[in-house]
Amino acid sequence: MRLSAIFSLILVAATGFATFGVKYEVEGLLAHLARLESERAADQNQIAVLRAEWNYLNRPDTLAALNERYLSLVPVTAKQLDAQIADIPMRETAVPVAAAPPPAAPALADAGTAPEAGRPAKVKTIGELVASLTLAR
Amino acid sequence: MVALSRFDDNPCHARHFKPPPCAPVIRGTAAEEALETGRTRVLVTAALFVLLFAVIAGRLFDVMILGGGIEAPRAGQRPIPLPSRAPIVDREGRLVATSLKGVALYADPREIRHPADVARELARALPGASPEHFAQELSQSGTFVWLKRFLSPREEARVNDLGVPGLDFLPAERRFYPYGPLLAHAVGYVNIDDKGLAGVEGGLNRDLLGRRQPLQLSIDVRLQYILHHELRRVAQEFTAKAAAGLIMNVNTGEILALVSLPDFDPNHLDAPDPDFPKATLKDRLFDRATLGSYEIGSIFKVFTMAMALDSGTVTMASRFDATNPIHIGGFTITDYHGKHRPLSVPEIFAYSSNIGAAKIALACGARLQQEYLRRFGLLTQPTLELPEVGSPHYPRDWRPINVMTIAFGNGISDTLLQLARAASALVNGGILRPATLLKVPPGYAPQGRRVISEETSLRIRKLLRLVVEYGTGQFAEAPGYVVGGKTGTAERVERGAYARHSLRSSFLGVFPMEDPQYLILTMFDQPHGNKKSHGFATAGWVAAPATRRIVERIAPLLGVAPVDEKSPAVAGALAIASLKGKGIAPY
Repeated sequence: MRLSAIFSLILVAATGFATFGVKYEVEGLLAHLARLESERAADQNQIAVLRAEWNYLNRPDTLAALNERYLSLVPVTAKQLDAQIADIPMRETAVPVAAAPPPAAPALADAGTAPEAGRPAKVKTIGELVASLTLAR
Repeated sequence: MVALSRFDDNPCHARHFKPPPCAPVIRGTAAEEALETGRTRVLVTAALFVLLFAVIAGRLFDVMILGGGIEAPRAGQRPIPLPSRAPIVDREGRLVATSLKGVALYADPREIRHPADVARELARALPGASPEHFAQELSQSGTFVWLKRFLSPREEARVNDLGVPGLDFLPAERRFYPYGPLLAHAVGYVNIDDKGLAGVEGGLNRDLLGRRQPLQLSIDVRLQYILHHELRRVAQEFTAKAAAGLIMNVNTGEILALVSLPDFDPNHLDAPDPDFPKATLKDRLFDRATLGSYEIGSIFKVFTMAMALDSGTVTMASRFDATNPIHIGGFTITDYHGKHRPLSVPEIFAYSSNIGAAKIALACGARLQQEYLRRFGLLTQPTLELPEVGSPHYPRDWRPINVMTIAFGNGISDTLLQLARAASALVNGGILRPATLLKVPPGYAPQGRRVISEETSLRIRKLLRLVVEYGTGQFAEAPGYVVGGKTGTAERVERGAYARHSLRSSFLGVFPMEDPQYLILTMFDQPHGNKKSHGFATAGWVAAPATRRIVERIAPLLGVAPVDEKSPAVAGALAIASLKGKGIAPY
């Protein structure tokens, strides 16, 4: 009788403490969450400001002025586009990579498109090769 | 212990020894009654304390377990604070309008001790405003005055550093347009309370409020810049009073660029347009591309041709006598540079013969003309996502003189928007689609209705190409891009009469003609001839070269590959059979 009373008292105290513990932990987490949310809102606002600034600094007239000052690039003319890169054919017989000069090989291997050694190249034209390189990136 | 020892001096007594009452209890006596009263008082007091502790315990339970009515932060339920207006982006995702959060500065003038000093300090902290302005605001009698409706974080810090009591901040939002005047009329602007008043901001005000995703326009900032730049340059070169233009995708109805000059900076409406210093605010806010309706002149002949060819009234081989001017009801219809001989239909179009066009329209008749123009959407107000959409003006009585003048674009005024939309339908195979400023998903063509047959559309393409190859629009030829087009030079109406030397020069350009994709319509108001143009201010000298430069710059951006226009595939597709492989005499 007395033992059970003591036992239940301890149990009550333990559950009480546990409840309080969980409760305060949750409260702490909620406060943390609220802080994160407000930080996120501030960051989002900051991103919005930076995006606006990025677009402001990239106004075409600004870029044109900078180009005039530092680069002097001119618009592409139709003549420069006369031949497309896809129009240039590859060599008739595909060259195995093993036969290719070594310095060129690592660059291709990095792009992940180099055919395996010994196998003939799958791409037929430079245009296709360029297209596959851009896709790989 | 002390109290106890009074009754019991023996410390060896058990603790629970009950001391004898100090006086014998005699029932019914006054002493007993007094004791009873004392007991009752103790009981009442005890009950009161129990109640009090119960309340405290209850409150403790409430505070600790139930949260005590204090609003705990709830995850997920709190909305993330959003800008109250959605941003607007161009078709490539460039930010063209956005709401920035900041603070507004206000003051309680009663708390300001030395208004003049504070005003001076504020003017130093907030560049762009005079101390007089602040002094005037601070000397007002109320308890609240706005000093500045939006401060950047930097400005806020500077004002804070002043440490003046009586100044305070409120959270505020401001609309910012990173590209400034570039997209003025397309995007529009908002008032100080963030309400959209013009452009897409005004037309889609409701959609922009309470929207999470950015609103994506069909406008491309790069094309917009090229059009804007070129219109500005040419307007300067020919000292034109105003200019307007648009670039449209003929297959979707998307407007890729929309410019009206003089324009304004939506961030600072009051700032004057540097190239048009005399233009008033009203003048700058006026959208000449969608709101102003103009007699466009000879560009209208393309609609006359489409009507005549589609209805079968004329064929490409038909000929009309353009030897002599037409005199009708006190008017004389002449050709600008007359050939004074019978002309075939392609020649009438390429040389822009008013006499020929008038005769073709007369052959079709007023009813057919009205029916076709209505079909092309040239007699009704179009729809667009802007509040500034103008209506056409046309005669109520459609008499033969009207039929003839409308054939070459006099006596009817339409907005550039309507003309571009109708012309798109003529070249895209005959489908009229609504114009839009919102991006159409790639590969999707909005619902449209057929207005002319595909064969007629092909003939119109050939005619437009002929104008640039041999006719009045030769300066629009951009090698490789197979431009087709039509010039339009109209005399402006001044004081109720056509003014001979006050012109409106415009050009309708389409490319590439073998598979039309894009349309460019430009208009210059009151250009003046110069030495380079040998004194001419007509469309062929003003608007056509501008179109060539625009095409040359935008084609690579739009992914239009140049072709050899002499190759059989291109030249053959656009050859006019009735010319039997020959061209026509150059204009």
